[in-house]
Amino acid sequence: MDEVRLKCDVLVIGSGAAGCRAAIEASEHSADVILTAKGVFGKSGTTNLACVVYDAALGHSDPNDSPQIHFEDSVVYSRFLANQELVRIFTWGAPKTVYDLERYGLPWYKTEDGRFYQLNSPGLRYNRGVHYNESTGKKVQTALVRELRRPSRRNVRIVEDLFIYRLLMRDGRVNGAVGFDLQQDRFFVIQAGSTILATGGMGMAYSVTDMEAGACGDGLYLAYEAGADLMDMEMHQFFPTAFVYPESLRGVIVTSSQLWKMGMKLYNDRGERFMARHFPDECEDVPRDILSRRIFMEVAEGRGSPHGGVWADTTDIPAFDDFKKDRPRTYVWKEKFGVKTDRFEVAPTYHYTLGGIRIDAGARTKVPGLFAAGEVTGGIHGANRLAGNALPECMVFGEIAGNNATAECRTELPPDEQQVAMAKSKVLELVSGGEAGEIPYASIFKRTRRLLYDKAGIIRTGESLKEAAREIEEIKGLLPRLRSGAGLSGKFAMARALETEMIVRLGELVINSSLMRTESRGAHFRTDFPETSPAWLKNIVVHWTGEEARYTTTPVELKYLKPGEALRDVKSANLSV
Amino acid sequence: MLKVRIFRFDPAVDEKPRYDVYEVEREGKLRVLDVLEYICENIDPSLNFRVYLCRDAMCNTCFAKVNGKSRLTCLERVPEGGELVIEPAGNFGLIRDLMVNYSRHSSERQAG
Repeated sequence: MDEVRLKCDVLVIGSGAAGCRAAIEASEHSADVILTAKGVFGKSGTTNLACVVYDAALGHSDPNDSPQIHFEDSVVYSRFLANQELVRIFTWGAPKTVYDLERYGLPWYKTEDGRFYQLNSPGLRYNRGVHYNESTGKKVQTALVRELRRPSRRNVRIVEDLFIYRLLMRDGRVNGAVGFDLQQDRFFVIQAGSTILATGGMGMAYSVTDMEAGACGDGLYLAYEAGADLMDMEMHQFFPTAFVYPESLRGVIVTSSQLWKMGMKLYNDRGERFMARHFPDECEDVPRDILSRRIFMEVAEGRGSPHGGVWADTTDIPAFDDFKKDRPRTYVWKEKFGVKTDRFEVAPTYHYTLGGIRIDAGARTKVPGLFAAGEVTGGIHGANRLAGNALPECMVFGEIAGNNATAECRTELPPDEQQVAMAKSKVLELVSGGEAGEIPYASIFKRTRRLLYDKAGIIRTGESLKEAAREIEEIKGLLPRLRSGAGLSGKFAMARALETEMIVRLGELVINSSLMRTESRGAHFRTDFPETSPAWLKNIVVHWTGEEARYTTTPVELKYLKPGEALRDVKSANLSV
Repeated sequence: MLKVRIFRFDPAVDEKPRYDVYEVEREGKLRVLDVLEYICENIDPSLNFRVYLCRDAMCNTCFAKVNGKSRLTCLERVPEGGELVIEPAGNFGLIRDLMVNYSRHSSERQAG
């Protein structure tokens, strides 16, 4: 296979909001940037799928709001597991990013007097979410892409359909990456002064997800392999309402955070509004982790709808025509596939990877030359994420990463040819053979996703996790025999085979971290340890030593806010299931 | 059973395009995209079509010609009877099989 050699100051892997923002910032500081996308630039990635709100404490719709209150809401919602320094940077930085995006051309919804029109969602003390109907994420992505296409951004070279699967190291520093082209038969070897990972979450490691189909945790795996710390790998957020039926729409999200206030209700198969049983005041308008768990329990206890969900009822929404106009994404499925939108089955779907690469306040990982921003990082959302906190996180930390990666870049280190050769042979091995006894990737891919959803998903027990650990060990033993099943022309099978290895290795970290955390907190719920324990106010951190995964715990630094100090705290304590 | 005819062409290997025929169980496959994913995962992993898609009618990169008409495969229902013919979307440069290049008019890929 041919090879293309490229050299740049800053390499950005991933072209969602965080990656694009980092590339813009590096370009602003006159760095020579390469931005890679695994799919179509500006179209692939999960940013396009982000729903309604973009939280920034501008105080337009409610003058009482402030970054301090945004900070408190976020830390309390994270069940005090978040890194408070990062949350502080994020909440104080979010308002500026709204204006940045406006400058890039995003037409935010505004009221008649020209102020931002902000919405509320569960867990927010005041109306905070600026938005553009229900496709805010798509608008954010489009604005960033438009900015990157301006002539003054010519120092950003964009390479799309490029699957980066190895980082290169020299003298303990990341100095580039190897990938293969999904369009032609060739490898890319990129030498970079610094590298930013912005590859998003690992939703595809779970069998039911609303993420884009490329979100296999690439960046998490690359950083882990390079020796960086991963934290909170047991924390995975599920979105409470996604279609269950018809089968092929399973996991497609019904954007609901505001619908509860408009009058959407949930019923079990007996016609009981089960959330009223647990929370007579809030009903469905509770944090996502609690609602997801309650829906899961209804189904597990045999009160679910025919296809394993619960019934969502929209007949009480006063102006249903407005709903249609405001939620075209949900409505389109009715028109095309006859899904009833007044009463339909919903169940939780994998939504957001809360844990991830541990970064410092400057978006640096532990490994010199390696930076990370966006969903791929951990520590900002702790054990649960507020609706609307994901996109501003990408914008704030994308900017910081772009800035620091440019300032600290060292371009003189050439790639280690031995590592390049090893990376290449890895791919050539995957496509070779097809002999008897070799294992096609698809079976392992499916099996791992199923395993994580069933045994390391919304509800966990020590027993199921131990079973999962045994099974993942068995699957790991099969990896050396994994094959793509097609020759060099089966590009996506090649990519999927490498991704299979990624989700298996990351899945092991998820299972082991979940086993370690002997309590329930936010998105992590164990039936054998249903209480939240103050002793577990610490993060589980894992890194690869070169031979084994090493797990450690570090206490959370309660720098600005301690449990019991926040106003909202009293209420959320009652909600902690 | 659903009979699916798919356009195949790898410029690096093939002299001219051909059509491969697959027989697919109709059960549980509502959308044309489901059929493509099923074939790639279970029958023929050498089939190339864009895989990194939103599957939620947002990214608009799953275009293909379905029975002669240009459609988003995630929003196109599998027809009740007869054959399903899937070809690459027109007006875009063909890369391989059903995969087309959407960035023809922009500056992307200038690095290669």
